[in-house]
Amino acid sequence: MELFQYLPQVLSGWNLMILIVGTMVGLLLGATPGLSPTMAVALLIPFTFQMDATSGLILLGVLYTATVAGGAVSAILVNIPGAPANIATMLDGHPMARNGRATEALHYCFISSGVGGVIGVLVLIFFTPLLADFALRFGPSELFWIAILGITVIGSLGSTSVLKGLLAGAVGVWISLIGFNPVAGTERFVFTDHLQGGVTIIPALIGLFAIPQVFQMVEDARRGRGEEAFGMEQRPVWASVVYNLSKIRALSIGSVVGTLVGLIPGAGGQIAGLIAYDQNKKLSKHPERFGKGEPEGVVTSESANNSMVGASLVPMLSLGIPGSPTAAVLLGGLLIQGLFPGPDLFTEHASVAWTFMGALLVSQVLMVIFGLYISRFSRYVIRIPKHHMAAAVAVLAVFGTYSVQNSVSDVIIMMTMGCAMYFAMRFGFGPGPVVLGIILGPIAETNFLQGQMLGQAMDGTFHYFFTGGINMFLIALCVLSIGYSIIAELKVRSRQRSQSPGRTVEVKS
Amino acid sequence: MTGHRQHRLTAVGALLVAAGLAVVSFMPNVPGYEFPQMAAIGAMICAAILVLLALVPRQPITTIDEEPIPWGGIWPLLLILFGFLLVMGWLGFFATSFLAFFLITQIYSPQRFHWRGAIRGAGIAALFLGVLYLIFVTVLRVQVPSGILI
Repeated sequence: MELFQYLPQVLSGWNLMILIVGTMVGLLLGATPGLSPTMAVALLIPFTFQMDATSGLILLGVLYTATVAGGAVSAILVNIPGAPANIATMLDGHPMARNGRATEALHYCFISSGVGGVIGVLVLIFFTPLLADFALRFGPSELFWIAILGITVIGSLGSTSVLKGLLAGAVGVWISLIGFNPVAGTERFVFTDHLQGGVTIIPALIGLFAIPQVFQMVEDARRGRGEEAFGMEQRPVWASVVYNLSKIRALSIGSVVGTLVGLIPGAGGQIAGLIAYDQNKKLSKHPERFGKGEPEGVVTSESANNSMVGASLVPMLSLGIPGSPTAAVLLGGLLIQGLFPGPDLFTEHASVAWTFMGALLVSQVLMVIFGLYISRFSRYVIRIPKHHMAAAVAVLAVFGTYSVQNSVSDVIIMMTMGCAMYFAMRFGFGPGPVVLGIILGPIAETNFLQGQMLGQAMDGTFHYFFTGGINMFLIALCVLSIGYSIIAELKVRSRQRSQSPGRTVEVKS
Repeated sequence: MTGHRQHRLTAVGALLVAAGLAVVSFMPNVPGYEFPQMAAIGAMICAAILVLLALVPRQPITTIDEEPIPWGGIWPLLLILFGFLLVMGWLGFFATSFLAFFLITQIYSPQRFHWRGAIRGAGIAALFLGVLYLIFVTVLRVQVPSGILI
């Protein structure tokens, strides 16, 4: 087995140093609200120019792993996801923290990330050639149905009302279509020059989550609730490890969904956590506990996020097709080093490829160790007075948004969306469905239009979208997902009715 | 304003927003608008059901989850954020951030204004931005908007 042959190289002095420093830097960058994994990897690419190909790739790979896990820290403690991948973690992680279980939530986050991450990397190591063929079977129609499957998750995203969630999701999809039609090239809804480039995911994510949080913090500070909102409990790590590993269903759903979503090029790895969270909630005996601090929510979403990391590198290394935006940046790093993805990578540059994959495996272990260690110091984050935290988040939001594309227009879009979201939240609309709409809108539209053209050239559009094994499987999943949401909601309503006869029945998601 | 009335107004407002999206999506008679039209129709359907459930029964069936907007507390922040956008290009990111950081901490501090507190606030703002500058601009070479100052 080549992996064992190259393992000593992974653990050699210089590479081990890169792994340790990369893990720590990645965790800190990921925990900073507004700095996404994609941006963290892009920022550090110039540092790899001076390194040899193996070390450079190890640095980028370990950063990818650590930033995805680190993003959960701000999601749990500050209620601002460090990256789109951490939205699902926030849904139960922050309520857990508010219930005085912040340390526990952070422990589950890193342990689950480690488990999911190891599974994702093992898939990468053992099944790359096999899964590359599977990934190639996904054409526009299959990707369109995956986007629709993602949309069916909206009901689980923490809005008080499913209807308001769906409405917010539809508005999110509409917002994502501002700019140019990806196929016809038609300019749409560009009412001002600032909208010329459309609304991209990072400004939207930062604006929708960070700015309303800034408003909330200053409101708390003004009302004298400016000191720490919750305490950090003392909890032994082993207790978290035992509990976490006993959640086999949550870990399995997270790891399987994360791996599958990561494998599919263009599916947008960001939705792995959300789909896994939704599936686990639907299969749970107590779906009503989700969104209120259910540990399984954190376990599923974090294992999904990190299993996606390894899996998203399968189509990248074997076919040159990245499975997520961060994998696309990593592909850039690979090309800069003069390495071209494909089967030759594993024969002509076997040393680089296998050392890199071995390093990813080691980085999962380091991420768990350092993650659990830094979670001890998280109490200092929550001790920061609210007015100082609000000011810091506002500045980081502007900084993070501007630095993605060096665009003032992005900052204006971020601020506008953030302020609008704050007001919408006062009327019961949540940011989760809007972000999901913005993530899935372009995927759904591009693949729908491409599928339409292919269908017209073949046996018709309907035939193209509604035939084929994978299409039918995905359609069945969509129908099941919607059907289950309706049944679950009816059950909750009938339970509420039986508990309080004569009272107004509330529609809870 | 009663909770029910605010809930009904929210539903009507949502319908108006969805109708606005539908109007701008259907107005241009050129290709390339099919998907936005589908999204706008989806939003219209959701908003119409929301209105029906909020207006038709004597008591709304959907959750009353609206809260009043605390204008008294948030208007200074709105002004600071708006000012940030206006001044950033002229003054530079770090100088503007320093002002915004300082103003937010002073306006929303639970303690009453005192010179010693203000100097401490300025020190914290300078330290935070100094670390940001050192890590991202000096080490990582991240671009930020620059003006007459940094």
